[in-house]
Parts: sequence; structure tokens; C-alpha cells
Amino acid sequence: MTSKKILVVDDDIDVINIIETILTNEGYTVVTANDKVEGWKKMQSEKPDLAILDVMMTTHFEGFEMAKQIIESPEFKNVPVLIQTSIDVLQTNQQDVVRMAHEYRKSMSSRDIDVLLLENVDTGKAGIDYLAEDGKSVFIPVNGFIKKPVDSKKLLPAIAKLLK
Amino acid sequence: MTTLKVLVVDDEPAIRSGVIRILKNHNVSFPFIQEDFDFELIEAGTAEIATEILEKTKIDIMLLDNKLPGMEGIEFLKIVSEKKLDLAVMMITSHASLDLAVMATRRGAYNFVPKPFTPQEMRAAIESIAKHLYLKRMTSTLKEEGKQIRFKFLSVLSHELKSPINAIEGYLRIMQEKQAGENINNYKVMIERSIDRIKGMRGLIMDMLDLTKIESGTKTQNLKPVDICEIARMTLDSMYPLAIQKNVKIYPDLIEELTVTADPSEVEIIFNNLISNAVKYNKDGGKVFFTIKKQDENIIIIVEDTGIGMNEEEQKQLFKEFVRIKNQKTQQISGSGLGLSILQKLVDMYKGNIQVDSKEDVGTKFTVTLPLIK
Repeated sequence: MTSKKILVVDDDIDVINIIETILTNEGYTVVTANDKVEGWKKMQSEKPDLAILDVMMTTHFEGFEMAKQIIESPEFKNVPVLIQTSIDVLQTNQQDVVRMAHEYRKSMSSRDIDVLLLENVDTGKAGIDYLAEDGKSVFIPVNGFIKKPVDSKKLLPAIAKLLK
Repeated sequence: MTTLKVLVVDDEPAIRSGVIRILKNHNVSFPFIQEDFDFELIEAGTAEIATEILEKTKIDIMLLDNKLPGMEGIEFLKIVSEKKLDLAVMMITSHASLDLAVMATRRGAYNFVPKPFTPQEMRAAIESIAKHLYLKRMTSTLKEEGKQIRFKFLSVLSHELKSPINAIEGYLRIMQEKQAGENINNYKVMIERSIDRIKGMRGLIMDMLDLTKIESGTKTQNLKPVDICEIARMTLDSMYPLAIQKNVKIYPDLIEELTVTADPSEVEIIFNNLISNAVKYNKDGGKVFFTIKKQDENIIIIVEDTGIGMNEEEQKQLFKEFVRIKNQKTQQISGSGLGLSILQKLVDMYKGNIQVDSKEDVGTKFTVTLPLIK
């Protein structure tokens, strides 16, 4: 049994309920929030060991913004972040995930792609490359992705690996 | 039912027969597309055989392995894309490598399935590519009609439908794995929530049908003399159960009778949307005042609530499609985000207008003015 604490941020109360059920069964302590602002408050008051973030909440890329906030804060920069997503994750075995993201985006210029999710299959290094509202490309390193709908068989090993 | 022809190009017979088994009796349907799709599968062991098939048969979707004897998949993809055929290509790759992905998308592939794939992954990929193909074909039709705007509507719509599906599937998985034990009673809330989400989805679909009918003008208006106060009373009767659940009291103040020429089903939609919003976005123990009166040559319908209200920014967004005011207070309230778009369109049809007065935490007042047509 573990006493690790996990923060789940999602605007869908059912998704929160589902993840909470799965994680509580596994012995984790779960704290929840419905948006970025509440999520950040919980980061500070609860100091979780890991955060699972939804992307589209009140705003389009709220989850990404919160991931960035966590990673850039001195206090929480080592807290692993998992992003929940329903779009496909691109896998690579190239070391330089950022460079690949940019090259990929260039090759996709004919199509309108706002968000790229990338994962190195060997190292597990992952990141988000997205076009923010000002049209600039932003890269945020994260610790992995959880594909929607949530599947305990994939969620639990991913968390266990990060909290080892 | 539309049958899409799928060409499976892979040198391993086991992969080919696997794909065929997975897709043979598989049907795909999308909430916003009237047709259903199924698949007819054709196999090819090499790029050379695939070329022959492509010359003779119109293929809709090609599943292409990269490692082929003779010409490689990625080379073949280049030749196929130069032919500018109306088909969508999905690559099957043993290593989902981004380098190959970059090259393949440059050459026109739509998506990838890494090997080994589960039946579920294959079905998900084929659903996504079928939708893409359909939308692509539809865009070219729509472009001709100058109606690309519907497109944005569809993409928002699919997001709106995906969320409840994800929630329901998540609950079902928990039940399948018996995460909450053997006793069915432990799953009561999850089952109730799933049913609620399904109801929400159905509501969205119904609203959308109303909206498309109004917009496309195919909705045949059944104009006749109707007593709108009678319809108002009927709508109220159907609204009381919701009001009781929400602990909201409705105070009607209707004139005895007001006969006008209108379509009764449209009048009902107008009342329904106004009153259900006033009840839903209310506070515990709140009130709704519902007034119908005649003023000069107009009908005035006023629905005023003592609910959560809106700030100015929220009010500006109010009549846009799929806009639901999202904040802490509205989170538990379900809705399609289409009700007020529908209301606006109907009121426009009757050459009326809508006025909104709202104050945060105090309440909202909708005043609908319709010219009196006898």
C-alpha cells in the first residue's frame, strides 16, 4: 500500500469520479480540482506527488498552461505531470523531441495542426508542442500521456512508474 | 449503409487476415452523419499487386505496411499520392517512428497504426480515417455550396459528444473490472451518472435536429390559429417535475386567452427553452416568474428568475452555438449549448426580438416580443 497523493484536474465530474475510484482502490490519496485556478490552489495546499491534468477546461489549452506553471515553479518542478488527451500521441526514438516537433509541424503546414503530443519510446521523455493564442509555438515537457477514456490498465502502470 | 472499400497491403498473410477479421463485420456510425459505414476488404501482398488493384477498383481506404518485399510502403505512398486518387491512406508500421511519420504525412498519409495493434486500436484508427474521408468528401461538396461554416459546428459538436462517451466508457470499464467489488449496489451512482450523460447526449442530438431543421428551412411550418396561453400552460405542466427536483417555484401570470397564427410546436420550443433555463440556472429555493401579456400589437413574454445570473462578458456570448457559460455555479447543470441559438432563430422567424437583463447572483430576465399576427 502506498500513501502517495495525486491531484486530478478535470472539468468533467464524471472523469474525476472515475479516476478517483481507480486510484483510491489502489491505495492512493486523491485530491481534485475543476480548473486551473483551483488546481493551482490544491498544488500549494496539498503538495501532491503527481498531477493528472485534462486539457480543455474553461479555456482551450488550460491543462497545458497549468503543466507549464508546474514545471516552471521552483517548488513543484519535480512533480511528475500526466496529461489526459483524446488526440493521438506521436512516438519517436529520436533524442531531440523538440526538434522533431518543429520539423513535423513544418511538414504539416498544409494542414491546420494546433497541438502535437510527442513521446520518445525509449526514454519515455514526452512533451507538448502547441500554438498558443498569439500564434507562437510553445513546448512543454511532461512525463507522459493518458489516453481518454481512462483505462486502469494503462493509468496505474504509468503512475507506478513515475512514483517509483 | 455506405460500403467503404479497404485495401490491405501487407506481405504477412496473418496481418491481412487479422485486419479482415477485425473489420469485416464492423459498422461505423457518427452522431452527426446520417449514413452508417461498413467495410469491404481487399488484400494485396505487395505494392505491385496493390497497383493493379488500384487501377481496376475504386478504393476508399488503403492500409499500407511500410516493410514490403519489392517496393517499400513509403515509396509506394509517393506514387499513389502523385495519382491524386480520392482515397485516404493509413500506414501500418512496426516501429511508430516519428521520422517515418514525417515522411509519410508529407506524402499524404492520414494516420498510423503501430504494430502490433489490438482490435480496438485498429477499429479506432479506421473510424477516424472513415470520418476524415467522409468530411473531406463533404467539404468539397460544401465548398461548392459555400457552407464551410457548418464545418466548425461539426467539429465542436464532435467534441461535445466525445466527453459523455468518454465518461460512460470509463464507468463501464470500472464495472467490467469490478473496481468497486461484487455488489451491484456499489455501482448505483455510476449507473445513474451514465444514464444522465446519455440523456444529455440525446438532448443535444434533439436540439441539433431542431436547429438544422430551422436553418435549412426544411422544417414545415404548421401555421394555424393557436391559443398561446394554452400552450404555455401545457409547457408549465411538463416543467413542474424539473422544478420540484430543483426546488424552484414557478409563478405564472398569464392572460386568459390569446389566439394568434403560429406553429404550436415552435411556440412550445420557445416556452420550453425559456422556462427550463430559468429553472436550471436557478438557486435552491429560487423563483421563476412567467408572464404573458398583450401590449399594443405585440405579445410580450417575460421569464424572470432569481438565479445565478450572468456578468456582461457572459451575456455577450449567450446566443452563440454551443456556448455554455462555464463557471463553478453552472458545472453541475447539463445542457447542450444550443437552446438559446434555437430560441433566437425561432424568434427571428416570427420577426420578434429578445431582450436580456441579467445581474450576477441576482437573476436573469428574458423578454421576448413577438408581433401579433391574427
